[in-house]
Amino acid sequence: MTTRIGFSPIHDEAARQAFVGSLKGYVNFGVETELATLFDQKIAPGHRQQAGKDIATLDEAESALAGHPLYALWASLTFHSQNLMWQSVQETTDRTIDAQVDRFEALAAAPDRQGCVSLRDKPVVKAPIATTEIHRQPGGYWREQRPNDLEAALNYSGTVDLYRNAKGMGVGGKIGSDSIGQFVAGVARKYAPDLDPKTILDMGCGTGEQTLGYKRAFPGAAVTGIDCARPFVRFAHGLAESEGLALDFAEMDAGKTDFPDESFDLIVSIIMFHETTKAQVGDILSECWRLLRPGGLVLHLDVPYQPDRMPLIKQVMNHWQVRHNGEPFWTGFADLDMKQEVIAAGFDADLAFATYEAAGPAVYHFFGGRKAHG
Amino acid sequence: MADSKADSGEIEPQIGSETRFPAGPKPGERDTAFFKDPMTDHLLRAVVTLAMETSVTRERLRTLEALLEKAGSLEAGNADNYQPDAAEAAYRAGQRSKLIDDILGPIVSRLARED
Repeated sequence: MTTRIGFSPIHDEAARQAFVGSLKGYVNFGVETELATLFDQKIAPGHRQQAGKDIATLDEAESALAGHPLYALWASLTFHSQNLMWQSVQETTDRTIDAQVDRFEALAAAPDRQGCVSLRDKPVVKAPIATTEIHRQPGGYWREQRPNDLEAALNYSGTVDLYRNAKGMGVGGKIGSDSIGQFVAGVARKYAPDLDPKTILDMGCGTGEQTLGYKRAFPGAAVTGIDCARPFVRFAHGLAESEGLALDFAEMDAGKTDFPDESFDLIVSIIMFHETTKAQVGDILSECWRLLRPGGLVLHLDVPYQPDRMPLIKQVMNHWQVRHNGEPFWTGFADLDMKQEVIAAGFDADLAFATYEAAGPAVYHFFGGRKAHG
Repeated sequence: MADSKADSGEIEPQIGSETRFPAGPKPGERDTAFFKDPMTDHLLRAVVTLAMETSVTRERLRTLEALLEKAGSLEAGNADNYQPDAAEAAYRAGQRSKLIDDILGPIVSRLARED
């Protein structure tokens, strides 16, 4: 009998997923580097010679690249690798889904369960999550096809493993699977060394892997994860119970939660904001301010794709991802000044921040603020 | 603490009239083309998919040979002289057909939708 909640490919499935991971690595690094070199050494100088000025805008860069076969190759391979990724994880999910749902039901009903899961009568999910296949995941985050469905979360979890394995992290196991949560916990300690959080809220917790990291980093704290996609909330609860960790999970809209004012000492999220609309950014940050206790910290991590940090060629590729590859909100999010958004939500200007922090070779955008002691 | 089982239990009819489960967002395109001639995209993707299956097979063979060698049950020439029985031969024929359909099927169904 399946004993834990999680994505568990067998030999050929794992080999297929590993190939997709390697293919994505080749396209994202090898082909992108070739494309950037082409742009810098031929296309940009050619434009300068012809037009008498440098390529200055995203539109100009796109026009200059349009029709070049290497750009088409990059686009076609990126698109296809995304299709293959979802196909390859679906195979494992189809084979294991019934046992995973059985296991979830057993864990959720176990008398000795550590935490609880709270679901609504009707989904709280709304546009854009409700109307978009984010990452082009078939069925999106919230499609359900059976009672107590976990399918969307199993597939998503499989792709996270696929990327992790492609980068040589935690191959064949779950080592380091909460590493981003641990990283955020470390940044929280750095930004608020005096804070010993008793209550932590993880917004947009997804599969809950990183939420478990907060419980491991702050074992004395009560940790709650919320997400608007029900299959993910179930999966997160099942995962926590599989690991014997006491966390609570609930289906909630981060912009409109059920918690009383000043419920949490630490409120975090990981790559949630770039999957919301601009309008929801304000709702979520205002909710953070309402939920934060005096002395507490709000700390959100997201993509570092602000245009002033990226060369034009990278902006072209990101804009392509927005149009074609299920990342409809990268651009809208990246155009916002998140420190100003945080201040607009009620935080004091001198306690709000928008920063960048490195985790190994990766850099992430952090934003949030503290609430002064009362 | 909420009663998890009760909370997670019944799902009522919600979105989409033909299903009692949340239907998810409308499916997006899966075969968008980027080259001038879409056939280039389709053939490129067929080749990549084929390469993936070759990669999987190679890994499988290496796994099997490693296991057999470890168990001391593989001798040189055994695989070369192997003759499948009727059931095994039929299975292999089915798998070959599926592989061909996996590679060429998406192109055929895409082109079949052309006016």
